Amino acid sequence: MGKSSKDKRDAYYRLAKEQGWRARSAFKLLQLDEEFNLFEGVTRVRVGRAAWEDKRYKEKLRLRQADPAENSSALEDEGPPEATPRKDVKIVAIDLQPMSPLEGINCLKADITHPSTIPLLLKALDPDYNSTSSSTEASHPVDLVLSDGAPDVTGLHDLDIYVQSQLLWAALNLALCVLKPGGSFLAKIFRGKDVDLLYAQLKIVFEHVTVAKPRSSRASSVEAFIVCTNFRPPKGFKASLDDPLGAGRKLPTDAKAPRTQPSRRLRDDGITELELGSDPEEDDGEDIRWIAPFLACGDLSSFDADASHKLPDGHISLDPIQPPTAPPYRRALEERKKMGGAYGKTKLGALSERSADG
Amino acid sequence: MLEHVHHQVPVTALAFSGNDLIFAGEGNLLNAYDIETSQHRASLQVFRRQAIHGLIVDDTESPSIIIVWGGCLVRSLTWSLSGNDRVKLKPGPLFRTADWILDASLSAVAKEGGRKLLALVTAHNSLIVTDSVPLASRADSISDQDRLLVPLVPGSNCLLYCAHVTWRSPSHCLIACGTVFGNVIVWSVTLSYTETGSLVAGTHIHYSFPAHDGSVFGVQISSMLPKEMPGGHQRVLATCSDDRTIRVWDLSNLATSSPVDPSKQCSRTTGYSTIIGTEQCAPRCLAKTMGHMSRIWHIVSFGEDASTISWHLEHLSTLSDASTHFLQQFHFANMHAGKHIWSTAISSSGRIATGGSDGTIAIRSLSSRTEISLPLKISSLLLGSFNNADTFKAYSFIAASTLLATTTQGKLIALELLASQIPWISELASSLPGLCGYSVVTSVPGAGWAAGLDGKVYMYVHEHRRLTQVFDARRKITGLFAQRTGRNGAINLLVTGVGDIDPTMLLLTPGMAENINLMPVLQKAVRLAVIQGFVVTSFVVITTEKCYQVVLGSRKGDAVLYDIDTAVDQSVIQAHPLLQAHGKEAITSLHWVGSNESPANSSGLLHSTGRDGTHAVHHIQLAKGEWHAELVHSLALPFGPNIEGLTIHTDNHIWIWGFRGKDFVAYDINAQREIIAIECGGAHRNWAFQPEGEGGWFVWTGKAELYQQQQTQLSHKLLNSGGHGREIKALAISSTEYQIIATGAEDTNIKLWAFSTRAQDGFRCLQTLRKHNTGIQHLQWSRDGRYLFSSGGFEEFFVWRVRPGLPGVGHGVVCESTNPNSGSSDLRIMGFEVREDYSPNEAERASFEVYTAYSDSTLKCWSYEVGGRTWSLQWQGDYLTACLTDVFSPFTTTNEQWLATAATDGHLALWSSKHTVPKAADELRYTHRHKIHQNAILSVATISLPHDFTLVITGGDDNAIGITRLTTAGHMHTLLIPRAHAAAVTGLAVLKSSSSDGSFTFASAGIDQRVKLWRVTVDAGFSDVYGIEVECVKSTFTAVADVASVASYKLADGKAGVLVAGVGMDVWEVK
Repeated sequence: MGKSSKDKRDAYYRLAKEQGWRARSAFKLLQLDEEFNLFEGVTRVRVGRAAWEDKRYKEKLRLRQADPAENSSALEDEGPPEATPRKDVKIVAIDLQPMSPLEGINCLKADITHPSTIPLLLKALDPDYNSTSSSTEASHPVDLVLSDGAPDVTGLHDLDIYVQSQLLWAALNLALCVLKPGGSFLAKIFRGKDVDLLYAQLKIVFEHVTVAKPRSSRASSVEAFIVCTNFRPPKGFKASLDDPLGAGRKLPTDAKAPRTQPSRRLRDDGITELELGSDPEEDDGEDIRWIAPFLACGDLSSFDADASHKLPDGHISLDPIQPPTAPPYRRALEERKKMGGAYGKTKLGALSERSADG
Repeated sequence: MLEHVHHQVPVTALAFSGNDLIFAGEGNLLNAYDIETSQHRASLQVFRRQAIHGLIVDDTESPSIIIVWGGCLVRSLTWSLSGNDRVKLKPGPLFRTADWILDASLSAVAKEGGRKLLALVTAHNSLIVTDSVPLASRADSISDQDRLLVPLVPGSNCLLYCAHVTWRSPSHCLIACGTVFGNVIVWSVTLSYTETGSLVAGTHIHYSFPAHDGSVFGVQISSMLPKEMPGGHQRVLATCSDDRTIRVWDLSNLATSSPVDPSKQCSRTTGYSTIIGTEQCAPRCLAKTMGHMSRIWHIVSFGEDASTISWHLEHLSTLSDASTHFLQQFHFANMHAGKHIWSTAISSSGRIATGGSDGTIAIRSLSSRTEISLPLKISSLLLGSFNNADTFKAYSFIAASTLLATTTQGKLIALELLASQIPWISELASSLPGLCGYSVVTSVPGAGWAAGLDGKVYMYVHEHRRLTQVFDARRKITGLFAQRTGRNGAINLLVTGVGDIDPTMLLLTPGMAENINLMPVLQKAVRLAVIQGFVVTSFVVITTEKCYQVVLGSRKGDAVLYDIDTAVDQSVIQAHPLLQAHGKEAITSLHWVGSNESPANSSGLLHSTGRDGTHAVHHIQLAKGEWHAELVHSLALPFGPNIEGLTIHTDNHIWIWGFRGKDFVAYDINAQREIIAIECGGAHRNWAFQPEGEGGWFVWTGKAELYQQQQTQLSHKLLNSGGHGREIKALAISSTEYQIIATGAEDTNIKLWAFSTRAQDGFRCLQTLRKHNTGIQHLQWSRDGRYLFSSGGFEEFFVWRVRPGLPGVGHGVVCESTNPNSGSSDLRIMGFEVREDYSPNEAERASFEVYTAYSDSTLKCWSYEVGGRTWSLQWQGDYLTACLTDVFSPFTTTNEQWLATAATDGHLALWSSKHTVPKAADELRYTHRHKIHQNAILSVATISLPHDFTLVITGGDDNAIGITRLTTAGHMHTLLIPRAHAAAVTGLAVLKSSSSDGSFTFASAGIDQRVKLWRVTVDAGFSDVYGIEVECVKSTFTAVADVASVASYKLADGKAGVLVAGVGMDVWEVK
């Protein structure tokens, strides 16, 4: 698809370019925040995946405006002048790929599934952190952990869902090490087979677990976001990346613990809601299933990611703000181009459209 | 209750057992097939809700053992033959691991213990080694605790995409694995037993190195290679990756140790790295290739003489020879539809099987390719002209392996083709001046004709080895067409010339008694009048009792008919325009199949192929002296656009041939499979094809040389007929007695299916409809099953006429009309509703009201006149800005005024469908709007109940199912089940209702791969939704991922069934 037809097909792709976001996924975070007020009172954040730290950057703007006492010192070249980071807000962003730097954000190129990332992160959050000490628990825990990580999908649904769940566990394992009690965790999730097993596990460590779908995420996509608030680790639970959750270790669950109770009630909007309760037959032995409540985020009046939109007359298609830095298949494309093969016709520039896909 | 009947899903695991059986993991079922007969021999549900990802068959044990794994589960089974050729599968206890299993391998028997060990590698590079005995023991003898298999060697934290484990000896495992970041780690484990008999492991990392630029998707270690291998490599490793390369590494030296600390295997760097460090611990890279069009998923195996077969999961497969340090493409096959091959297996006898995402299992021979000969060049030197001046010119088959050919120097020769050998050449005429430089040839079995510049037509009769001149046109001849008609050996020969000269048809019949050889002689010559510019490209003779007719096809797609009355002596016969087919493209062949049903009327089917890429069939009928042609079938083939010929082969299968890129392709339309594919350089050349058996002879000219190739057997066997190459997006089942299942997929194709439980064949694809340019969004049948409607992106909307029981073809399908807006914009028609307006006696003059819902929130109403095939826009309306997802008639009464739409905003809207005056988009709006879901409504089903109300059941992206009571006055009240599924609810179907207690059941399915059965009871005495009770009576796993649609299906004996479609199809019986 060319830039222009994609503008029509995807309103958020166009808006991201027009409003200066690195990727359309920024809107996903904006819409999630509309619903959950994720950034209220937040001072320390850890972000996974590059596209979002840009979002975080703008988010600070909002925080700053809420706090007029803040000292807005110099920021000369890029961005709105008032977008100075607040001194007591700390943002660390992690991505596998190199990121273009952003003012006020500590960007790390690291693998969140890897144990050595923890000391890097703790160091970034707290310059006084001594990596030689064995503790992997943060001395200054963070308020919010965001993860927008997604794997290369293979097409084998089982495997894609598994790999995505592993990324979620990796982000959660990091979160468990650095999150304040009462803190929040937000991560991308694929709503597919066995996602209810994941929900049940998250419910053990967070009081509220909601699966949220921003309107900027397409209905045709399995992508959604799990929003977990009020972190309350079970007694005696000690987070460790040497024995992480997900790959083997599971949180102990109580099969008898009440999950969702059957009920029938008339809601304010006139809809009668029928809750049938959890079906124990759905469980596989000790694997407990639970379906988290769903919440669509973003105003109904906001753009519909699935709809086609008419472009205003004289619309000029803009280039994306930040093309991908180093896709792994770049060299293959270059080789093919040299050989004059079919892929030789594919412009490398066309790749840049992928950046706004996220 | 729901009982599983059958499914067709991606084949994710394969293993041979000896030379007779193959086991396949299809979803959570293990199936066994007989390789020779393709018969299904056994089926067992191995896991409850997990697909099978791998299989090991061990025939050395008695009974034979099968180890099956998928996800985190492992189970061992035994199998034995039982009566009537069935295979009996007996499951052992289920074991689980804490991590995803990537690969498994069974050891040989160690001398002392006599027990085999099973090694499993997981996605975090941990190794589990277990004795195979407990795996095979009885289920109840194992405690729950023992069912968890604990790693012998703990893993790391970084994720692997692939691993391969092999046993070097009963106490030594070698493991290769690839990380997401392009690294490959090769390590081994030495096992020993402690005094107490427990296993201990010593680990050793041989190599840990950056192998690829992208994620490593496949690794495979070879077995020990023979010593005589060039280069002396004893063991090699092949890897493939996201970076599109396959690389082969020398693993001969396993004495090396990686300097990397084993406990920090991945700590070199995290994330992608551009710095390549620790070169010294990388093995030597022997070869690197970019054989693939896209991402490479698996490297399958190493065979004899260090050949590797690497399967490329888009379209190609390559058999590569690594011994000479470069990878050479050896074999190339196209056996599966779509993108992915998910499983492969190699048998000891050299067969390779592949399982596709299309649900097909293809088996072919790996090493010796006896079924097709290699291309052989027939040198022009054989023509005896040593200065190389003479070359083969035109040729045509006169017998199964005999060609009549001309040369550029005017020779006429017969070529007896021999498999893989230079053909016998016999010279029939040394130099015919008229054939010098230019000539054309045609043939019927047993005889051939050649002509050239001077207009002399020579006939060669093979039986008598005699050459005669039968005609002289006295000017250049551009075309010769021949057909044998009737049993008396009569032949019709059509001779065409240049300019505005009418073609001449010669009637050749075996001569009288004085002609002892019964050589055909010219009886009669008639001129067939053609209009200016009519270039004949095809010819067929239709003979009936009284008279005979000739049909000519032209370069511009016209066909004309000539009535030839043998009683009347006419010299010029006038043409009757008969039909137009194949657009403006050439009709390349015509084939007549007469009907014997009514001798009074002359009727039959006229097949034609054209350069528009289609095969068409016209029903031709003579009534009251007038010829009528009706198009009854016209479908594009999976190759082309140059479709060149057609024959009715054995078992009445129709074979059609033509070109796909540089390949010559023959295709069996009844079996829906490719028969032959020969690389010849493309359509623009002289060629000849002689179909025979499971292939035939193909001869072609390339760079002024002649080539031959023969196929005697199909290159591969397909154990079951395949499905779509990508996920199904739309499903509709005809409501006729004989149900036809129509599916539309993301691969842009529509397929028609028959389903049967008796014939063991499950789904049988009847036709594939290729016309859409985008994924299919919606399908609907007309009530009588004669019309199928389809919609997609780019505003594509097609009307298909379906004729079951068309002789020879099976189901005749014609795209009768396309909506005039098709292709006019990039809007998607997300859904549509067709209301029928049949007047019973004038079915052909019926009209359809078509309501189309667009992705830009508009709704349009069209009237389609079936007779005139005309469209008129009745009215259109704008919803809001949300994408409409569906439009439907909530009430079944035909004269109902309401029309309902669903949208991505979770609302149901009601529209008045009756507008006498055409209205523009901005004038018309919905009249009622009702909120049900938080976001997109993805599925809708309705049931009309007495007391003037309907229940609209909706499935949402919000996991919810809504049941909305809608009255004829337009009032709506909703009962919502918020957690109906764990993911989006994408399919709904009302199954059966009982009027006695006002209850009915419906089925739902979602992306969570669950199928649920719901019972609803309605007490109409209550208003609102107070009288509606809902109960989930069954919830079960479906092996179909990405469910897009659910439909009610009537099984044999009238049993109620449910069909689930997505990545595959799944049938359940409702009890």
